[in-house]
Amino acid sequence: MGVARFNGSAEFPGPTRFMDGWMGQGFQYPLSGGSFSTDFQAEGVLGRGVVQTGRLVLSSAGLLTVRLADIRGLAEALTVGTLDTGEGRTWPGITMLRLRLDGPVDRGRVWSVGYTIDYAYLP
Amino acid sequence: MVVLDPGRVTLGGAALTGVRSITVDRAPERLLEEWGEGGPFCVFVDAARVRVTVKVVRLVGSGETGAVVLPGEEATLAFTMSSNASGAGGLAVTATCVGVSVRHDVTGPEDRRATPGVVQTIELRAVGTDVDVDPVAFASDEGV
Repeated sequence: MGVARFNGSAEFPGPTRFMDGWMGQGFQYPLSGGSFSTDFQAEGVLGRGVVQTGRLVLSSAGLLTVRLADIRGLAEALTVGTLDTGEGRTWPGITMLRLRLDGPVDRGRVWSVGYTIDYAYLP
Repeated sequence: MVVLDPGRVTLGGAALTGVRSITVDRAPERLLEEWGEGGPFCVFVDAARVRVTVKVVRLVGSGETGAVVLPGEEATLAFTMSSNASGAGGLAVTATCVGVSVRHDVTGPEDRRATPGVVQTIELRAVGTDVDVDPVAFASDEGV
């Protein structure tokens, strides 16, 4: 199993999954959005984005805390880099937008936490 | 872990008689299972929360309650076990437990003239103050 990376050096130890987040047109349903139009309203082509889900797995609380801080820093700085799944798929020049933890940190044999990271190609 | 006919069983400091078996089961209350990007097989499993269930099965007589715990009540379970009849190499087992249930099953032959037996099952959860230490403790008990 390859290790997923972002921006060359930021690793995501643990299982990861990736999906293209948005495709096609943005639109509004009839009678929504305040316009009360009875028709669907096309809003334009959606920007491209990627959603990464996974579980960070590290051997200690300290290492997990440091890794989470690193990822948060990348997101806060709107870092642009190459997202590499470690399994053959890459998204070059994409921006990390947000890190969300899916729940509290779990402590079993190792320290781990589920997470979701949103990336997008910003205009 | 299964212990048949354990010796010197106490619960909350009081002796429990007629104990036929004590079982200690460990099962995850929160099991983490994760799959990766590259294939169909699970790549990560961990037990983030483990539940330790202790069941004490004993034979009791009519009207007998013995030393049992109420649901939610805390008591120390202690018993001895050995791998042979001499008692050599025996172990003393202790666990702080909280009562979950006390159930009774009346069993017996279809022949009504025979005296039915009563099987009492005491279900407990073992608890500990140290999250890194198994709440069931073993110590040498050579004097069994």
